[in-house]
Amino acid sequence: MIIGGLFCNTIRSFLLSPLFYEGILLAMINHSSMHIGAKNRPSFTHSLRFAKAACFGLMAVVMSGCSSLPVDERSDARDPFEDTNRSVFAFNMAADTYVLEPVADGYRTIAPNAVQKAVSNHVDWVGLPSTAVNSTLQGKFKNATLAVLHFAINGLTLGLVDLTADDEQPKTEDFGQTLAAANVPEGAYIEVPLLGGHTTRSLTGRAVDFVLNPLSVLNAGEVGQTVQSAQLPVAAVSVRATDFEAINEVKYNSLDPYARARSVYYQKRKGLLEDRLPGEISEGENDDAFNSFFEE
Amino acid sequence: MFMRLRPLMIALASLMMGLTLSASLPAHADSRLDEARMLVRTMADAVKQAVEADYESDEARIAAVDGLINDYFDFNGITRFSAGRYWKKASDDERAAYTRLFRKVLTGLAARQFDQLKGLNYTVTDAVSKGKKLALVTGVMQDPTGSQADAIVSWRVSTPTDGAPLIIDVEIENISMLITQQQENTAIIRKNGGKFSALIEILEKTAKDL
Repeated sequence: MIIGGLFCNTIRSFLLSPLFYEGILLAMINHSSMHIGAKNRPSFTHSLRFAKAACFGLMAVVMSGCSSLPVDERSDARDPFEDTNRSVFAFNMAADTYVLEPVADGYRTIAPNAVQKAVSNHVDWVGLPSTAVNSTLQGKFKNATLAVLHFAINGLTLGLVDLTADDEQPKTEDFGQTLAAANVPEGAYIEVPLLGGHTTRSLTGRAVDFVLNPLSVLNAGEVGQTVQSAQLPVAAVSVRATDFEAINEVKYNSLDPYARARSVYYQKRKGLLEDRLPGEISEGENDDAFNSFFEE
Repeated sequence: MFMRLRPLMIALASLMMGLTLSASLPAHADSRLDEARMLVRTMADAVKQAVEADYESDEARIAAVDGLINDYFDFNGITRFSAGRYWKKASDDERAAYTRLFRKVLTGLAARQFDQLKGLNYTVTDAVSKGKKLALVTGVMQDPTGSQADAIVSWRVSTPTDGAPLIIDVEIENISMLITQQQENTAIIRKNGGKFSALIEILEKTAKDL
């Protein structure tokens, strides 16, 4: 339990970090939109396009400026752009320090537990359409059905109350997993400004999932656009607040926070690709690593 | 008569031996799993007591953590595993320095986090054999007040036939903490041209800042 508690840091931390940064990005987009007159205010579709274009534009700029390191100079063979990635990681950590961390600290202090739980439920609910679509694309029809049912039932409360908490839960499926199921190569590890660590495959998937938000799909009008605009920044704050100490421990107490975050990302991603629920036991690389260690 | 029956008797003896072995293997595996389960339960209780205790100083708190590591964890195995393949390349002096500093950092950080574990309960839910020498004990860590979400935590326990079981790793939501530590340490060494001393320097700095 000691080591468990100690490293809970790692776990809870950067798992959802892209969400934090996506939230920041959306917040910035919305902030800029507020300075435009209501009549000329861009629709959310435009904002989405802008967000995507900004992400990919930013990535293109970043990646064009970095050269691939020789394998023997990398700290991980999957990370050919490590030097650039580390610089971007430092920027992301600064963004966390100056924006997300203080806001999340205030939120967890002020907001009652029930409100925090409702927001957390809503964040999970918003991801269900993506799970339904991607499960279908991968031929996992039972999971797709579960996602649709959970989405429909919890939709009665806009996902704020989990009415299906006692039922079988759908496993998260994103477009990155769909690409993996189609044998698309994983690609290099890339630390994206404000979006955190990804592989090129998962980043592509993330862009697709981004437009599968229920309010985006339903084109829910002015109110829907406003709600959707607020969703990601709120989600970012919610996740950061939930795992506040754990994230700070990784951020401030790791020997090499970048390497730790990268390791956690790959392990978490592997669990998702294997459709493992948290704590679900399966045979895997970890077993091989420990078995060979004990056979030495 | 005996000579004619000899092949049959050998076959019967082989069959009996085979049956005995096949019956004893699961029994042995079961006892290993029981030992692993018991170790984790006992450790969880001991940690709960240690967390709830009052300490007069930080040193006393660190000493309590150190005692728990001695009693329930395979610290030598954890240390060697965490250094990855560079352990074999390190000199004796480097190994000694790394072992000392790694332990200091580990206990220091764990002691600092004691308060975060206060009030949490851990319940073992499952245990499976992982090869001939390891078992994975899974359970759930719960906050009775409900202010924190449940966390699934699994413990990898070495179960040698000639010694007591000890914990070597913890996995939280499918993420191995020891493999994460190993990859972090290996990254530091590789970024510094394969020098083990670079890892020791960083540990020294971290230990001073604790």
